[in-house]
Amino acid sequence: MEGVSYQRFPKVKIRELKGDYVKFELRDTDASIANALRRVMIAEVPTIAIDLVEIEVNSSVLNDEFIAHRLGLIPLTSERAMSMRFSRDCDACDGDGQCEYCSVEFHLRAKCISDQTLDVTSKDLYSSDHTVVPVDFSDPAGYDSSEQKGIIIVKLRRGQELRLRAIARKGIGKDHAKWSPAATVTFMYEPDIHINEDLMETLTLEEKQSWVESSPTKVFDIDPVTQQ
Amino acid sequence: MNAPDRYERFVVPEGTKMVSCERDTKIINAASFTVEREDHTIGNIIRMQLHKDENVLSGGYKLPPLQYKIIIRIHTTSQSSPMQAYNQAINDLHKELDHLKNAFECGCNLELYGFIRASELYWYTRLVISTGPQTYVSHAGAGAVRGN
Repeated sequence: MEGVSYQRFPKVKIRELKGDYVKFELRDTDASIANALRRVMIAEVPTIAIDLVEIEVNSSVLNDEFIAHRLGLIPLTSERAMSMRFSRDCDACDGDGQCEYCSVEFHLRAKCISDQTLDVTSKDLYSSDHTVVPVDFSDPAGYDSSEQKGIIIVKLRRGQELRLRAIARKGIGKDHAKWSPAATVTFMYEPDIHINEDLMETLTLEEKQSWVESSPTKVFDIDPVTQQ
Repeated sequence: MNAPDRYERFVVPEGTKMVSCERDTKIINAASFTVEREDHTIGNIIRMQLHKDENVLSGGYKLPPLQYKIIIRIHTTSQSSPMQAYNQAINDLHKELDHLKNAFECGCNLELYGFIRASELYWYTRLVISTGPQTYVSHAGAGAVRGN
C-alpha cells in the first residue's frame, strides 16, 4: 500500500533583485504553484497597518472616518510583523488588543498657525516603536524638497487642528487590502523560440533585417559582426 | 447586517475541525474532504497534485458559494484509497514547497552576495579616487567611507 512519490523539484533563477522589485524564473513546476505563490503574496503575507484610531480633536475639512481610512492605508515598515502576534491571538493584553506584543502605538498632533496651508503628512506620525514607521519614499539624492514630504493625510487651514492616537496591528491582505504588502504580482509563461539556423543562412542580409523588423515586439536582433 | 465578519474567511473557529472526511455511500473508493477556511490557493494545488497520481481516477474541488471552505472529492482505483491519495498528495506538496523555499533562498543569497560585492567594489574605488595620489589602501566597505 506504499505510494510512489510524485514530487517535482522546482528551480528558481533570479533575474533582477531590488529593494522593492524582484523578477525570477520558475521551472519544473506547475502553473498552480505559481498562481498559489501569487495569491499568497497578495493576500496572506502579514504586515502591519493602522487599525484603530482615537480622534481627540478634528477641525479639518475631512470627517473622522475619512481620516481614519486614510491612516489605515499608509504603509508601515513591517519587518517586525513576523514576530508579532495577531491581536485576536494575543493573551498578554487584557483583551482590548493594545499591548506591546501585538500592537504599535502612533500619535499625530498638527495645528495650523500660519496663513499658509499646512500639509499633514505621514512624516508627522510619531511611532512608539522606531522599527515600525511610515515608509519613507523619498529619494536619497532628492532633487526637489517638495517631493520628500511623505503621503499627505489632510490639509489644514489657519486655526484647524488634528490630534489623534492610532494603534497599528498585524493583519493579512485577506482581511483588508491595507495589509497587502504587494503592489502587483504577475506571472507569465515565457515562449521558447527556436530559429532554424540552416534556413536563416540562406536569406540575404536585407531579408534577415525585414524578418527581424516584422515582429511586433522587438524580440530579435542581428549581430552586426556575424550577421545572424 | 447579515454580513459575516471579515476574519471569518481565514480564522477557524474553536471546536471546528479544519479537515474532515466523508466516505461516499454509493461509490466505493470515493470520498470527500472538507477543508475549512481555505480557498483556491490550496484547492488548485491539491487538485493538480492528485491528477499526477496514477491511482486517482478523478479528483476535483469546489467552493460552495458564500461559504469559506473547500470540498475535495477523490475517486481512486481499488489499488489505493482516497485517504492514501490525499495524504500522499499533501506530503509531496509539502516537500516540493520546502524545495522551492530552499531554492529561492539560495538564489536570493547569491543575488545579495553579488550586490554586496558590487557595492563594496564601488565604495573601494570611490575611496581610492578621492584620496588622490597618496592612495592608502584601507579595507573597503562602509566603515572606510564613514571615516573619510
